[in-house]
Amino acid sequence: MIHPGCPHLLRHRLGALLLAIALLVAGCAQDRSASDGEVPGDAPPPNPAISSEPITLDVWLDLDFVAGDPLFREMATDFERAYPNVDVNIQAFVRETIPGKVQAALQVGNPPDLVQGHAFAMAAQGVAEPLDDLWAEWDAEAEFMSQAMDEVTWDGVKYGVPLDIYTLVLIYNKAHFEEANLPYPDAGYTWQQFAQDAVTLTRGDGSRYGLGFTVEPWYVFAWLAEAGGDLLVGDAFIGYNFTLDDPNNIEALRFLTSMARNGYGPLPTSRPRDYEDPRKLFLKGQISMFFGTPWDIHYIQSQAPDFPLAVTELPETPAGAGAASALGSTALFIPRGARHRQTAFEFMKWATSDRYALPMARRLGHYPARAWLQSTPHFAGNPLLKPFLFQLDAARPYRLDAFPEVERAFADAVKAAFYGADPADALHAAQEQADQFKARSEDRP
Amino acid sequence: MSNAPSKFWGSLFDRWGSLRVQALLFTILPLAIMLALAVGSVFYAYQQVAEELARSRDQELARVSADRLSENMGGFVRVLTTLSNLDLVRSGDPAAQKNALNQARNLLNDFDGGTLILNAEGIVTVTEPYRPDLQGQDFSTRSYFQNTRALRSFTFSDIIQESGSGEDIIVVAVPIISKDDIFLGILVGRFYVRFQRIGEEIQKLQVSDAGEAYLIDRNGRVIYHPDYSLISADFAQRVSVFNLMRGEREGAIITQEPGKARQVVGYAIVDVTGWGLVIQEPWSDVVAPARISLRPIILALLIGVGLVAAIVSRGVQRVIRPIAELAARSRIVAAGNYAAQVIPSNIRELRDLASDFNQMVEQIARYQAGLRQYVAAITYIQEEERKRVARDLHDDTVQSLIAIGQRVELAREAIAENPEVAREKLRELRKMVTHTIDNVRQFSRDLRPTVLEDLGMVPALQHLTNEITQRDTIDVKLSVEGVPEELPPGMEVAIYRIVQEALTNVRKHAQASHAQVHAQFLPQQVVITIQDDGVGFTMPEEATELVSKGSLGLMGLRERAQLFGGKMELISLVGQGTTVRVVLPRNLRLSQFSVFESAR
Repeated sequence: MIHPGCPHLLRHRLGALLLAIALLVAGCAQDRSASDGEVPGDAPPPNPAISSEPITLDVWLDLDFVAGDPLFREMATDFERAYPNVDVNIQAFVRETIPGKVQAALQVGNPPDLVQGHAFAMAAQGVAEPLDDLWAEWDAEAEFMSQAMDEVTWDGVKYGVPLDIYTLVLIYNKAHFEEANLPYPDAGYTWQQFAQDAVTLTRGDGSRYGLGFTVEPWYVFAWLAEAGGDLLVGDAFIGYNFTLDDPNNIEALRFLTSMARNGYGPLPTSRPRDYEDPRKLFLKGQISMFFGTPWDIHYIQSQAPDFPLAVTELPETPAGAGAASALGSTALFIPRGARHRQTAFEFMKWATSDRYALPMARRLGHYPARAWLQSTPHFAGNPLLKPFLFQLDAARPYRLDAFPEVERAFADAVKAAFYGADPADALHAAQEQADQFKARSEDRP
Repeated sequence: MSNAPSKFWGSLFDRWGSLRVQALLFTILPLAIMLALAVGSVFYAYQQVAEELARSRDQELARVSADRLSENMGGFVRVLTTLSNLDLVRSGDPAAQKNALNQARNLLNDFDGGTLILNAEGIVTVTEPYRPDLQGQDFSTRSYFQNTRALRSFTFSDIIQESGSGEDIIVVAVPIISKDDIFLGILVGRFYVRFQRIGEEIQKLQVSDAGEAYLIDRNGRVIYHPDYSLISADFAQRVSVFNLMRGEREGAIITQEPGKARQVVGYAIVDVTGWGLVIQEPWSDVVAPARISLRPIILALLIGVGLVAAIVSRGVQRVIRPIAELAARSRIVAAGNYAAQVIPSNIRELRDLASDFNQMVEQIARYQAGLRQYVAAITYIQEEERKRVARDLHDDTVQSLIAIGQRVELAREAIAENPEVAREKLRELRKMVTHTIDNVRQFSRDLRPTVLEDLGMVPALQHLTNEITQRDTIDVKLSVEGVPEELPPGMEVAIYRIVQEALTNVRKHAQASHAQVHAQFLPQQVVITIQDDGVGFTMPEEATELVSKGSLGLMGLRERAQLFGGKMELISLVGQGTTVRVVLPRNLRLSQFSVFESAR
């Protein structure tokens, strides 16, 4: 009860009421945020170890991360604001050309400070700078997925900071399945069903195919891995043995190429980045299924929000438990001889911090390699992302890009197989080249 | 109700005609307009110069950048040419050629679309990296093959579509010529437009600080643009691109598309390729540095304009305020308050004006005071004169008439009893009537000079001087110059009264023994001078003081002279006599006639 003659008491009670309302609103907001699965994100605190000397930080990024969205440029601006002595100079290149450019830059003694790419592969080629000391200072390894940490590790040494993580899933057009009276693919989908459905979904007039193909080694590796195959065995310490012509690989490649050669999918062009073609054809409704990445899902949804898109895990093969998709992850690494190692590592911390990791997922469809990714309801609860997150655990790393010459031989074998060569012959030929490479490598002092 | 608009307009015109508005209209407003015109002209000139400089700058920038780009693109040609001269490549053996390209892989990394060798028939014989989709294809109809074969020189293609993928590509082709000068085919380096390798060369030019730079092929299609979504777009309709396509080697324009910012666009041909480089930047960015440096100038200009306006306004106020105050004081004075004084201004002319005004007001005040005294004195004199007339009539004429009446009664009584006595009485009566008539006539003469009407001007004046001489033993002489003919009506009386009054003064106050009256009847004016050798007196500073000093006669002379548009001059020194000089113009204005008529 409020006494009318007591204004102080009235004021106090009104104040308390307002405070209670404010707390209630704040509480509701917190609850809502939590229910959305948002992970609060801040940029890392200022690092006093960063030199105040004016510098230009040359950052080379994948064009796919920069061309369509200013996120990384915004981040660079934030970084410059936090470290006014640093001028961040971002340059973007097509992903596949970056290793060659870094090699060329190292040869002329003018490497960039920070590069996006496959850190372990660059480490294997002697291009990346070891970062164990900076990781130890940072003490944040547990915040990243272990699979992603493997992707930045070579011979037990960390060479980069994982930026994103991905794997291949089966992306299909629901409308096509409905039209063909086929049940939707699900977790129990088998290669036989997959092949049969591809046949059913293909039209004889060439206006639609059941499947889309690419000759890109990482994508093909997913098919091989599904079939229980692998391209190399061993590790960086004991050494690798190439297994390009592994029987499972041959069978998988035969299955794949025969599907294409029998007309259940358009023949891949074999051009660089031909992995973009299935997505393009899928959006046009010219193919019903393809093996795609999470950013393919994001791209399709951004281009055609009402597209009858569905996603499931890759089909099960007779290999059973050994079957798995391909694991992929890009990282940020520092080339050997880079001038601003400490500042570059700080930039990596910023780029992989939650503050930018979340927008990267939302705006680019590239999912951060953070441990919370698989447990956060916003991602884990998304039916389109669920197969991707599920497959991450079993996905197998693709290590062949640590050996570009062997990878090229494998790629040529795949192309040849698609264009008429017997898969076994093609892979045997590639295996010979791989063995020659290994022999040459072992002969080197 | 109907008066309201007219009142409004009246008020408006009143305000319009005010000194303040007029000063504003004819000083500050023209000044402001002139300054605005000057500033506008300066800015217009500045704009023109800035545009010309910006055009020149961007044209030069585009030309230099295009030259550098041309040089860089020449690098691609050099790599391919070097390879095409290798014996392995010249061998014509696809395996050897493949081996050569494979060994030179690092040199060919720039060609993100790979390299091809076409044989002399235009068939793809070698691909690096391996492209089974292209292997064996017939490209003999491709323009880059035909041009390279025909010219035996390098060729840069425009954007073309890759068979199979439909991707936009750019091709650099060099001929493979044997040592015997036989055309063996072409070596082709390919770029995917989307991969931006060409764009990297433009980024190396670092022209982006000056705006955005983009590259177009000979058909106006975009090879590179910083906005990735515009890659491969058709820009043929843009003026700069159109100019390049019709053969202009370089140039610069300023354009503004609807809804977009104004742009300065420089363009130039990239020589080696035949493509066009366009550099454009927002006009606002071009003028930004100048705008920054202009700020203090504009500020100074504004302050200067404000200062000038304030000074002019202040100056006008300094002039207007005293004048306005003078006008206000004049109205007060016009209302009869002669205590109003104007505070002297610091401006000399206005200070003199204020001083003159103050003196004038003081003079009017004194004149008014003198006039009041004069009127009072005149009124008093008039009353005294009436008393005298009444007394004279009572003491003389009336007594004479009473006596005449008594004699008439006595004569009437005596007629019957004693006619002789009655006769005697009537004779006495006649004498008495005659005497009374003389008295009344004299009385009448005193009131009005009949001698003037009877004898004329000169005899009347002579009569006056004679009378004084005879009565007061003052030797008064009269001299006349000219003929007193055709004088304006009433002037004769005025002259007569002036002389009469002046001589009366001589008689009463001058203690003179001689006096001289000199009358000059000149064509334009009449000058009357009365001079005596009397005691003289101290002249007052103002004529109006004559009244307060009791010199009503002199004041009367002055009034009479002024009544006829004339003036009176008085010269007197103690012990040296007095001279009165009256000047009367002969040509009286009509108003003065009426004044005269009413005064008569």
